[in-house]
Amino acid sequence: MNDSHVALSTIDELGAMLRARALSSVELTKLYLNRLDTIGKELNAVVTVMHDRALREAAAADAELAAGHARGPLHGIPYGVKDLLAAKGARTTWGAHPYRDQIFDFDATVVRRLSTAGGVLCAKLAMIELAGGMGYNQADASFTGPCKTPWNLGYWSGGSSSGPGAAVGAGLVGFAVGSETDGSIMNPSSYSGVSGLRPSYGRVSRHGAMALCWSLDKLGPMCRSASDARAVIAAIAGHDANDATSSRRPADFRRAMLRRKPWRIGVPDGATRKVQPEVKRNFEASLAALQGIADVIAIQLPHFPYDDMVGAIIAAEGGAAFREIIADGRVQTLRDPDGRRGGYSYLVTYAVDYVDTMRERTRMRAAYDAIFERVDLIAAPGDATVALPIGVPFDKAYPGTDGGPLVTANNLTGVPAIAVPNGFGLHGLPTSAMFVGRAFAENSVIAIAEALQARTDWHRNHPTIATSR
Amino acid sequence: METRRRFLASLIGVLSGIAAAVAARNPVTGAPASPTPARPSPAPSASPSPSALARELARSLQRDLAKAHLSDELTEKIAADIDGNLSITKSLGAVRLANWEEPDFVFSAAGSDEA
Repeated sequence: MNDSHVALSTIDELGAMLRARALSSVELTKLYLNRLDTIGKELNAVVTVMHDRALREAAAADAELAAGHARGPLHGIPYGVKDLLAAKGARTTWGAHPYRDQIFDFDATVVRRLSTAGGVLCAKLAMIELAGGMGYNQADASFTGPCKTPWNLGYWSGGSSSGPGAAVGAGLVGFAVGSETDGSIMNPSSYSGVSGLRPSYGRVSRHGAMALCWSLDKLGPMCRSASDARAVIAAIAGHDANDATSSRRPADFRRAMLRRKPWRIGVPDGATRKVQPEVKRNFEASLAALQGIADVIAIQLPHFPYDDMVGAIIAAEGGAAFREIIADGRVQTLRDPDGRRGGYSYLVTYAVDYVDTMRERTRMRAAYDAIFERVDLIAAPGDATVALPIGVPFDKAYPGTDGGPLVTANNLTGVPAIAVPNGFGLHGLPTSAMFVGRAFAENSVIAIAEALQARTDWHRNHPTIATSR
Repeated sequence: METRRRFLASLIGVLSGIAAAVAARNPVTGAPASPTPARPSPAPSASPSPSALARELARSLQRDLAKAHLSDELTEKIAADIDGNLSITKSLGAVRLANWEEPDFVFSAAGSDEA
């Protein structure tokens, strides 16, 4: 097995190698650090490579394994985090020029939990500035430059968890943690060809994470398989006294018992009406691959002013979160021209619009609960298109495409979803399928993705830049 | 109105990364026909003449946020953004909510200890 094969292995496979002493965590960590330093910089996927901490944690992991103590599936596995998660002593830039020298003296709860699970933190990964909260219309909206998908370097890796998508897809880390306010795990997972899980709102503590919208932000794993996502969510989920929104619900992510009855999968009317033809073809093939274990049911999504609702929340909560740099003008140092300006209008948002949006969310949650009485899961393409080209304004890239309201609806209702690769489209770029579950039903969305990956091998395809180095 | 809708859609589109879909709609001729996260296109260029109210609000920001040094040109673009913002009130106000329908957040006097 050569270096690229090792680097592109899943967590299960890496763990097996480590426990069999086929390689050490230090050896594995050095392999990933080298790839982060080389391929990672080529992709603009990395903000900070954490050599010292990584090698220290890897050596500790090896020592424990040598002593017969294995902490679990993540023991000795190197990983990276989106650069909005605090890691003690390292820069945490939030992808934005005004925060390029920011350092915290503590680890985010997610980082602390991954350390407890034996993970090895290797890198802070690139992201769209302020998670895109001030608006952006181009891939070059990060102080580290446009992050490239490893599948085609002329195209964007997606956002705002750009670096986690690219780094996992290119085999620069064993897995990564991203964040989503309104699509920022789903989109880069799709554009980078990785398996990304957006957990339910409240499932994972956000302590130590940059806040954009307190009522929308979630943290979740981005991996090379759905099973890997299961291993990571099991390590990071659960109540945290430092995050009042974190849930006390039991966080048991062991594989669900095999269902005796087929899954009922709802596909929203019009889900593929305005997607690229290859996206439609691949999505239909994914549903066909699930034949025998899933029944597909057509559903209608309820009508809500989704755009205005999420816009009101972003304006009110995002405006408050970044009021200081908007007011003092530092926001004007952001990379994207739209981002330099967007926050100002937030400061004159009507309070009643925000409160009424939060009232409508209650109603929306009930409407989606009713849908989940009829179906176990909702499925749709993870994105309407393949990755957007770098250097072309987003609104000029793929005229006529439209993914529908599902991603925004899911984020407003706080339910979990997973995006997994399901083929290729234009320019050799990956496409994805997305499965959405009811609140706190991560087990279900992971299980259906595992079932798809047991029947297809799209997640086993890797980009040339990753396999040739 | 359309300005705001486009601006919001742009935010949603870029946040959700469904920006490609933005191009699905003509940035000049129309607001989103459906509640779809789609358009990353910023509004200002599409709204040549912000309303008097939006201009006044933008100018108040220009006056009040002295440290931000908002230029006249930028203030005009912000006015266009605000003009769009104002339409959200119509959109959300069109939904009838009963008096007792609470917002989906609850203040707790006991703080997080009670969670």
